[in-house]
Amino acid sequence: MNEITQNIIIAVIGLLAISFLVRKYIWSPKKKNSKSCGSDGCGC
Amino acid sequence: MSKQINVALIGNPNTGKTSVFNALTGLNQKVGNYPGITVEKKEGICKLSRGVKAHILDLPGTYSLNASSLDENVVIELLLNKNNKDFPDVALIISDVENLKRNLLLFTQIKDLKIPTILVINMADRMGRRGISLNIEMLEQELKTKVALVSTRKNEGIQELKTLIENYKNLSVEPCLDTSTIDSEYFSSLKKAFPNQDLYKLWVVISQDANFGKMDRNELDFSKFKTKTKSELKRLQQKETIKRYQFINGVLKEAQTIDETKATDLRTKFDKILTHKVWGYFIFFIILLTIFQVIYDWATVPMDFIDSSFALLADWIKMTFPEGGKFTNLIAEGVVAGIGGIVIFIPQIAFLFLFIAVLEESGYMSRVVFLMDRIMRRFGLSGKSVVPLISGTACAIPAIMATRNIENWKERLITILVTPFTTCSARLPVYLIIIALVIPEGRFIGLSYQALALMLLYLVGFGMAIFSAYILDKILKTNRKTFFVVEMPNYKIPMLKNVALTVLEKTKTFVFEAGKIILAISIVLWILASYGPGKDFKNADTIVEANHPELQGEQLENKIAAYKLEHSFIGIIGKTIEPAIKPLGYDWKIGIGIVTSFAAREVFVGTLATIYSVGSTLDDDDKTIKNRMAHEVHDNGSKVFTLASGISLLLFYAFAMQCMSTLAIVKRETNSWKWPMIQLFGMSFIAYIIALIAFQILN
Repeated sequence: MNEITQNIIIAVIGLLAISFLVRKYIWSPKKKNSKSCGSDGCGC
Repeated sequence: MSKQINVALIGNPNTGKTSVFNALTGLNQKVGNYPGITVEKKEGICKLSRGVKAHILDLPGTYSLNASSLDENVVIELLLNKNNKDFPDVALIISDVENLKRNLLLFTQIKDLKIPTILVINMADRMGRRGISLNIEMLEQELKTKVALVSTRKNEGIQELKTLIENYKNLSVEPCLDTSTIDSEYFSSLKKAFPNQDLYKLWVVISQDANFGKMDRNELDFSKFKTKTKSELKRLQQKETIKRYQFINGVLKEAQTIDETKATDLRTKFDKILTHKVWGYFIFFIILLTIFQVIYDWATVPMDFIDSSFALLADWIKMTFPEGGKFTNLIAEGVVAGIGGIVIFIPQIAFLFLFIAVLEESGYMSRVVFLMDRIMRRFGLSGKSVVPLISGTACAIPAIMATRNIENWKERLITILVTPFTTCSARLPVYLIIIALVIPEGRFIGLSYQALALMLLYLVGFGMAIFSAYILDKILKTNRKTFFVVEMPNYKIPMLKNVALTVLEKTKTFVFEAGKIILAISIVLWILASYGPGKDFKNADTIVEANHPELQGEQLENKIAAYKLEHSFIGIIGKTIEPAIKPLGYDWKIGIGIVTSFAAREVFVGTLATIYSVGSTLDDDDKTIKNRMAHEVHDNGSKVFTLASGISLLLFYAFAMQCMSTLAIVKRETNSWKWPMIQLFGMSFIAYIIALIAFQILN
C-alpha cells in the first residue's frame, strides 16, 4: 500500500470514529416515543 | 413461519420473577430499554413443543395497578395498549408462596383486565419448611385460572408451566371482582358514558395519578363525563383494594393452610444480627473488605495474561504486516492498545458484579439498604435515596432514573446531584491501574494495601455523596419529608444460574458499551498523535539527529517518536492544558487522558494505553499497559506516576463529574441545563482542589 492510500483509509476510519462519537454525545436523531406514553413529565 | 405467543411476566418485587424468566429462556435473552425511557426491558425466547415459541417479556416488579413510579407505569401502559407489539397473549403472574395474599392483589387486578392469566406460585420448595399447604384445585376454581406450582431452585414445575402457556387459549377471562360493586352509582354512570368500553379498564385509566395513557384518554372522550377529584379517586382505589382483599381472604381461607408450629424462623435471628445498629455495620464492613480483597487476589492472574496477550498481539501485527506502514500502526497502536485497555478489566469487573449479584440474590442487599437508611436520614436525604446511591456503584445513569420514586422534589434533586459521587464501575479501571502503579503490594493483617486503597476510594465517594447532601440540605429548604418502605425478602442461597447470567449480562454491557466508545476514541487519538502541523513534526528526524548526534539505532528512533508525539496535534492540546494540571502533579499526557475521559471515565486507561503505545521506548517484552505507565518519566528523569501524583489522580477521579451520559440524564430529569452545569463545574472544582491539596501535601 502506498502512503497516499494509507492516509486516505486512515482519514475515512477517523471520520467514521468521529461521526460515531458525535452521534453518541452531541447530536443524535430523536427516537419516536411510544404512542401510549404520557405528558406528565414521564421523560418521554 | 412458526407461531409465537407473547408472554408477559408480571409480579411483585422479590417473587423470583427473574428466576422464572431465566428458567424459561435460558441464554436466549436480551436486555434493552423501553422506548424513550431508561427502564430496563428484558425479553427472551422460550421454545415450546411442536415448533411453537413464546416471546417472554420480564416486566418491572409492581405491587398493584395503582402506579406510583415509572417502572410500575410501564406495566400498566403495556396491559392497556392492545396495539403494543408486546401486548401479552397470556400474562404469568409470579407470586411467592410465602406472600401469596399480597401477591394475589395484583393477580386479581390483571385478571380483571380480561387478559388470559396464569398464576405461577414460585419457591414451592419452601412450603414444607414454612408449614404451608395449598389446595391447588380449589385455588384454580376460585380464581378461575390455572395455577403452576414452581420451584426454579429445583427446576420443578417449569415443564408444566410451558404446557399451560401453550394452551393459554383454554384459560378463562372471567373477572375475579365485579367492578361495579366498588361504587355502584359511580360505575353505572361510567358505564352509561362509555357503553362500549370495558368497565375495569376504564377505571384503571381514570384512576392513574400520573404519566398515563395519552392514547387511551384521546380515544375516550372524557368531556361528557364528570370525573371525580383526585382525593375521591384515591378513596375509590382504597375501596377497590379492600374489596379485593376480602375476596382473596375468602379464597385463601379455603385453599391455604399454614401450620405455624412447623415454621422455622431463622430469618428473624439473622435479621437481628445483620440489621443490628453496631454488628450490622461491622458485618457489612467485613463483607466489603473481603470483596475488595478477593477482587484483587483472584483477578491478578487473568489480568496479567490479558495484558501480555494484547502486547504480543500488537507486536505480532507489526511484525507480520511490516509493509502496512501507518495503517498497521493504527491497528497495532490505536485499535489493539485501546481495546486492550478495556478488556484487561473484565476479570475484576466480573468479580465485582459476581459479589453484588450474590448479595442481591441472598436477600442481604435489602438489609444493607435498611442499615444505610439510618445514616441517610441524619444527612437530610430521603430513605428512598439509599437505592439510587447503592445502585450508583454500578452506574449513575439508572441510579438517577431510580430517583423518580422520591416524591419530594428537593430530596430528589439532592439525590440526583450527589449520586455521581458514588463509585461507578467506570471508575474501576482507572482506580485499578493507578493503584497498581502507586500503592505497594504489601499486606496488613492479611489484607493487601491495594485492596484497602480500593475500598477506601469507595468509602470516600460514598462519604462525599453524604457530605454534599448535608450541605445541599442546608442550602435548599423544604418542610415535607417522604417515608421509606423497604421489603425484606427471605434469605436464600443464591442460584448459580441467576448469578452467572447477571455477571455475564453486566460484564457484556460494560465491555460492549464502553468498548465502542473506547475504540472510536482510540482511533481518533491515534490519528491526533500520529499527525501534526508545522515543521517540527514534519522534520522531526532531522531536528533530533541534529540535536542528538550521539544517538543511534533504537535509541534514536525512540527519541524521534517522542519528539513527534510532543509536536503532534495531541501533543499541542496536552501542552496547552499542562499549566493548569501541573500543580496537581500531572503531565500533558495525563492531561489528554483527563480531557478524553470527560466523555466517559473508563476512556482514561485506553487513552493512556494509546498515547504511551505511540511514544513507547520499552523493549517488546515489557510493552504491557502497566509497564508503559510505570516507566513514564518527566523531562528531568523523575517518574510521572508517584504516590503523590497517583493519589492526586485517584482523588480527582473520585470527585470529578466525567460522564456526558450522566449529565444528559440529569438534564432530562431536572428539565434544565442549570443543574447538570452546577454538577459539572461544582464536582470538577471540588476534584481539582482536593487533588491539588493531596499532591502538594504528599509531594
